[in-house]
Amino acid sequence: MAPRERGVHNPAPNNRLGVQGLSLRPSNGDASSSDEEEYDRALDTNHPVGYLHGLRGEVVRVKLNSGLTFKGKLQSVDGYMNVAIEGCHEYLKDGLKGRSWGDAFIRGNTVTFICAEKDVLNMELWEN
Amino acid sequence: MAELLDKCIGSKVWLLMKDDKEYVGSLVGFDDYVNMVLENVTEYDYALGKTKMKKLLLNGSGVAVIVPGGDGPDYATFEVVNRQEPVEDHEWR
Repeated sequence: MAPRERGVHNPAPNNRLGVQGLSLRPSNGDASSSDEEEYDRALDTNHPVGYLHGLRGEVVRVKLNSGLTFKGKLQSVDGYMNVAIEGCHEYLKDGLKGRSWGDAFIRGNTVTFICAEKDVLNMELWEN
Repeated sequence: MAELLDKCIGSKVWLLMKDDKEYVGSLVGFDDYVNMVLENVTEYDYALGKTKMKKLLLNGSGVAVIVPGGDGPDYATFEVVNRQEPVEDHEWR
């Protein structure tokens, strides 16, 4: 496979799933990941790539490195873990509700974790 | 190195993050960046509290230490090593 660069002006070509920027691995063209492998990963919900793509359309919780949490419907994701969220609400470090943003784009390098809101079982705050 | 983490798949791991967070959960998958998918996770956020989640995708860039088979801070035992006893009637010379 020819080396390819990803970016606004030079997006990755669509693969068989019709998903852009599917892989969460470097596209240095060393041919270590074939199209077949990439296809398998996209369907495997135990692999980071497959799990992230499976979350599309669900209400998710995205926690940032700063401690801020954003909740909303996951619209799209890419290989950098950049996410676009619809109906986005912000929650501060201490869990209090912050502002509401509507549609938001979150840059992937600030993300600590992403999980489905329905998968959050319970939260206990530290006693002060 | 990935073989080491590959052996942890299906078992519990304890993750210490660069900032004030810890995660305990069973590892179900990871990739080249050590982004990880964890199941039955407990997040210990020192600023917030304890959160339990069924499944999550953790960004590998924030991870500092991975402890295979770790039970997490709730079950860890801490001991103070090389603690210096205060010196009684110390004479300055």
